[in-house]
Formats: sequence, structure tokens, C-alpha cells
Amino acid sequence: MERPVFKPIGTPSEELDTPALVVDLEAVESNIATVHRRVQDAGSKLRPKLDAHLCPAIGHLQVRAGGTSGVAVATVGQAEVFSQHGFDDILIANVAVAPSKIARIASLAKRVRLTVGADSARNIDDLGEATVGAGAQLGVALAIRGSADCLGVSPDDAPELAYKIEEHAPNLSFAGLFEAPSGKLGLDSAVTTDERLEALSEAEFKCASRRLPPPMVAAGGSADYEEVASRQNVTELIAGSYALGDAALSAVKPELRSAARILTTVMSHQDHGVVWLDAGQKATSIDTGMPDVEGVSGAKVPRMSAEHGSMVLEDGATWDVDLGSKVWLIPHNIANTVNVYDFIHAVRDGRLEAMWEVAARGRYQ
Amino acid sequence: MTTARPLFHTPISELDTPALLVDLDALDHNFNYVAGLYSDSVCRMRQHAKNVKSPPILHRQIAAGGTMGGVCAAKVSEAEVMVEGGIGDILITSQVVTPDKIARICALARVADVKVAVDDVRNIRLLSSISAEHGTDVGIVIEVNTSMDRAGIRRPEQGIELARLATNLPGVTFRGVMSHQSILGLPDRETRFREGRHWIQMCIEAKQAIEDAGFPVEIVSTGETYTIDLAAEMPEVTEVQGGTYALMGTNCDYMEDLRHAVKVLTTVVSSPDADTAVCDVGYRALAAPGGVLPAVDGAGDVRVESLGPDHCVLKSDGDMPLSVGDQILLISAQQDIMVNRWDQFVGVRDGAVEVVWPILARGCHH
Repeated sequence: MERPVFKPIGTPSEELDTPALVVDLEAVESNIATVHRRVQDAGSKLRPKLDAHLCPAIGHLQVRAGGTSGVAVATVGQAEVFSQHGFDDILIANVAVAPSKIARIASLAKRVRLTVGADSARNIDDLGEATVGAGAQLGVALAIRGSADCLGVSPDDAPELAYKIEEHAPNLSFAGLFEAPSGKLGLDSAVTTDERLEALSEAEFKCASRRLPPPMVAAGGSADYEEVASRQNVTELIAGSYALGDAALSAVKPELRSAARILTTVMSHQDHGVVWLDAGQKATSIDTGMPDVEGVSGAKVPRMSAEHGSMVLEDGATWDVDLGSKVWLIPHNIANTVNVYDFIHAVRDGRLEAMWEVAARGRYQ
Repeated sequence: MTTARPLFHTPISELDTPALLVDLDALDHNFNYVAGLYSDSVCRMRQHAKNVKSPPILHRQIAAGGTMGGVCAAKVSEAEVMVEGGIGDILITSQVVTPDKIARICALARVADVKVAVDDVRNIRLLSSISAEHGTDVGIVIEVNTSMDRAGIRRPEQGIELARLATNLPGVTFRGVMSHQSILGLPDRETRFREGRHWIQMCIEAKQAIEDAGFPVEIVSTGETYTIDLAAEMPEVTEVQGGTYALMGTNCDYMEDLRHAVKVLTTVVSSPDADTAVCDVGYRALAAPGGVLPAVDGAGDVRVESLGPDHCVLKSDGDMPLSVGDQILLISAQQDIMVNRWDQFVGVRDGAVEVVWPILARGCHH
């Protein structure tokens, strides 16, 4: 577990023990207010995807902002953690097939309003059987496979499976359709919102024309949240990274600020124009891309090893960074970065206001 | 954090997935290989804790033999976990430059033989003043830059200056030199011996310059997985900082004497196309720095096509032989980065659970 030197409330941000995941509350509140207002203005609802931060305290900020229909997570384990922290309407936007996981889903469904994804008849039967045994009521939503080339069903198969779900009434109910999770690394900017949502729209049409109109049609993405929320047939936007932001998101949605940053310390300075930071791949996650540098103009992080990050200066730029200096990094992918921290340092006006636990970190099962 | 601990003798087929497995036969093979390699040499293994982050695994190499009895740690908090886990000799391989962390090193120095890598006179002065204030003694090991142009002194004369300071200042003791080398791609034995020898020789030259200036060098700590066998042949090297060798990853597949010990157990959750299977683990748990993909363990023509945050997409040239509910094992290309994202190892032998080791230093970036 992460073992920072714990600092008192009120400590200036730059005096926190490094590397530290630091979240600016004013920026988080601004991001949440912006997105929730625009989604509501578009006549849609928001289902915050909590695996983007894995932190109950931030999830509560999102729900309190209004306009939400519940929350979404990626795994059964995350659903268990968030249910323990007071979230009572949870969509597991994924499929689970192992008997042990299905038993956990049926058990959790007795305590919260739970919806889980499915993409096969066999899986629906297994969920039906488990909920009968547990005496639980469970919503089942069909994962619709779009351009992501991961799991999910095609629009043609959706009505049959919706009927299959209804066969297990009253324990199972057909909750609707959602855009299947991605099987790709990071944002796929080559795919337009139209292309992404085509399969979902088609599946909705096919279900509706078989007299099974889906109560929920949910599609994802902070990167095109306004476009998705403004679709007439999309009832819910599933989005998460808008709350904390990251470098990838700010590049396409400049109104969303990078509220989460990593504070690092220069640990070695041997060559002109290059310093080594005490945060490497283990403290940032570079699976989808390298972090940005904030506050040092002309600086970038071209290279990271496990424990070290290099910061270099572009030709002609100058800096006064030296051994012991603090440097702020903006993660490329926030969901992947929170997963390597246990604590979020919440700051306001440059001072520590709260320490929040990343309670659902590592809950892959 | 509260991942379920499977019971002793649970068959692998009944484990919840994804799970991080350690093949104990392979682990013991790697540890016995190192014990044999260093049985007759001056050089000894100082296993790097950053790869396994778990004291019981480090103790297992110490028990198997070939070690100098201590370990490396990349960070101060990682060193704390190792000392708490009963290891009494630690070399912290990163520079520690902030006063509050230096105070933590001093606390460790009260109960263990603690050394830290330095490459800057200002850092030695700070270490000295804080350690002297606490009445402790912190070992100083000078990091020498070789192949990586990362931390480490660039010229032997810097080493002499640092050794002189470390010898003369209170609260610190000069102990030796260290270096870390990297190699690209999948080199053959001749290439890695030639390159490794070249880089390690730079560290030895710094050591000789420091000794020639009158400061005895007790420790020459260098080497890594790719030089694990070479280092045993270099008499000036006193210890090797092997890390990846214990659990292995596909990035070190050219080390033919070592076996893959860590694997991720995952379940097929969807079969959307005839040639496709989707498993329940993605890059969040596997780590894919720079987009690197894991390998499928012994699965014929099944390959990893892509990784999403929580899913792995498998493809086959013909019909996919895997169905929903089937389990497979994945082997990481970046073992070190992957282990840092998990809470426990499930040690297996003969198809069943033998031991569960919490990864106590997971997330110890500080």
C-alpha cells in the first residue's frame, strides 16, 4: 500500500510527500458542474462511471451535482465497494460469467438496485437461476457491440436476448442497452460518434419493433459527452473521466480541466536541460501515453522507466528547475493512474483539504 | 484491497479471475539457478525488491542461497516494508532528496544496515546534516551512470569528490558504488556479454578511481537480469541487483536458463466472433507501457489482438479454440510494472494453490 508521509490539513500542495496524486477541488467542481449542466440541458441523464477514479468521495460529488440516474462501474468487485459507500443504483457495464461472480451479483442485487450487462443466452439463464436462488431482482442490460471490437451482441441478436431476459421475470428484467466496453487502448479518435452509436441505435430500433422498447439506452464517453447526450434515443450518458480530467481529455474538450495532477520531485540533475523526477511508470501509468508537464514552459516528459521520469527542455527554453524542485505532471489517462494510488490528496486554493481513499483500486475481480 | 484469499489446495480452475499466479516450480528453478551461479564466486545476489515487492519471496531466494543476505529497494517506503518483513540489509537504489523522506531513512538506519544511492554533493550534505541530527549512520553508495544517462555521476572525478565528502561528513559512511544498465531487444549471449561487460566496466573504473584517491570501496553493486551470469565472472563486482529474473517477463525471454514464474489467470467472458474470445483482464491490471501486449501461455495459434481497460481481445487464425468460461494464462512483457498493480500473488504448484503472498510494497512510490 502507498505509504506517503501524511501531512496535516492545510499543508501547501507543494509540501506534500512525492510522488502524490493531487486533485484540485475547485477544478473538479467546475468540471462536474459543466458536464452535469450540459447533459441536463440536452434533456439526458448522466450515469457517472466510477472506475474513472475508483474513489467514493468523488462519486458522491458527482451524484450530488444532480441529473444522474445512478452510477456505473466495470467490475463486480467495484460494485461491492461502491455499494458499501452508499451508492444504491449501480450498473456493472460489463459481463460476468463465472459462477462465483454470478453468485456475488445475485447477493448484491438483494441490497441495491443492480443492473448487469449480458451478451449471451447462457449467461442470462445463469443470472436467472442465481437470482431465483437468492430471491433477488436484477436488471439485465444487453451490451451492444459497436466499433470497439470487444464483447457484446450485434443489433440483430438483441431482441432474442431481450426476450430471453424477460423469460426470467420477475427475478430478471430487461433494463435496456448499453454501448459495450472498449477493447482498445485509449481514445479512438478515428471513430466518429455517429459510427460508434450506429449499432446501439439499430439495436434499439430492433427491440422496439419487437415490442420490447429498451428502458435504458446508455452510451459512453467524456470525450464526446455533449454529442452523445444530445441524441434523442440515448437516455443516459455513461462517463467518468470528466470529473478529474486528464491530458487526453483536455486535448479534445478544453472546457474540462485537468483537476488531477501528480506532484513530483527532481531527484537527479546531471545533464544540462534534463532532470530526473521521482515518478516513473509505476506512479503514473503510461499505457496510453506520456504525461504532460504543467508549469514549466518548454518542458516535456519523453521517457519514463519504472521508478524514474525524465523531463527535458526544448531547445532555447530556460528553467530554474534543480535538485529538489517540485514538478507537476498531468496524467495521460486518469483511470489508469488512480489505480496505482491508494490516496487522493484533495486540495483547494493550494492547500490540503482532505485525504480520500481510492477504495476500489485493484478490484479487478 | 480486500481481494479474497483462496484456500490452500484450491484447484486453479476454481480460482476467481483475474488472478496473479506464481508458478512455484518456476520460481524455485530461478532461485536455484542463481544459488548455483554464485556458489563459487565473490559476487552475490542482492535481489531487487521492486520486482516482487514481497518479503517472503525475497526470503525464499535468501534461503535458496547465492545472496549476500540483503536486498535492493527502489524507494524509501519499499525499504520500510522490507525491513518490517525481517530483512536487515537494504540498498535504496534511487536518490532521496527531500528532508522528510531522509528522516525516514534515518529511522530505518536505527534497525537495519541502510545504504542509499547518491549522485550529487548537495544530496550528501543534506543526508549528512539530517542523519547527524538524528544520531544515525546512513551508508552512501555512489551511483555511476553507464548506459542509461539517467541518474548517476558522469565522470569518475565526481565520484572521488562524493566519496571524500561521504568519508568526512558526520552521519554518513561511504560504502561503495553502483550502476544499472539496460539493453535493447532480444540480444544473444555474446552480445549481452559484450555490452554488459562494457557498461559494468565503467562502474568498475569509477570504483578504481575512488580507491586510487584513497577511499576504500567495499561495495560494487551492479548488474541486472541480463548480466546475471556475466557478473559472476567479473571479480570486482561484489553484488548483482537482479530483479526481473525471479518472476520473469517476455522482455527477458533471451535468458534461456530462466523460466516464466508469474502469469495472469483470466477467464473468457465472451465469444463475439468465431475467431475471437474476450477475457476478463485488461491493461489496467496487466500494464501495457507504450502499448506492449502480453503473450498467451502455450496456446497454439491464439494471440492477444488488443487490450482495453478491463478486457483482453484474443484472436485465432482459424476457429477460436476457447469458449466462454475457459481459463487461460497470460505472460506480461513488463512484470515489474504489472506487479505494482496487484494486491496478492497466488502461489501454485501441481495445479493448485500452495500459498498466498500479499504484495505488501505495492504502491510504495514514496
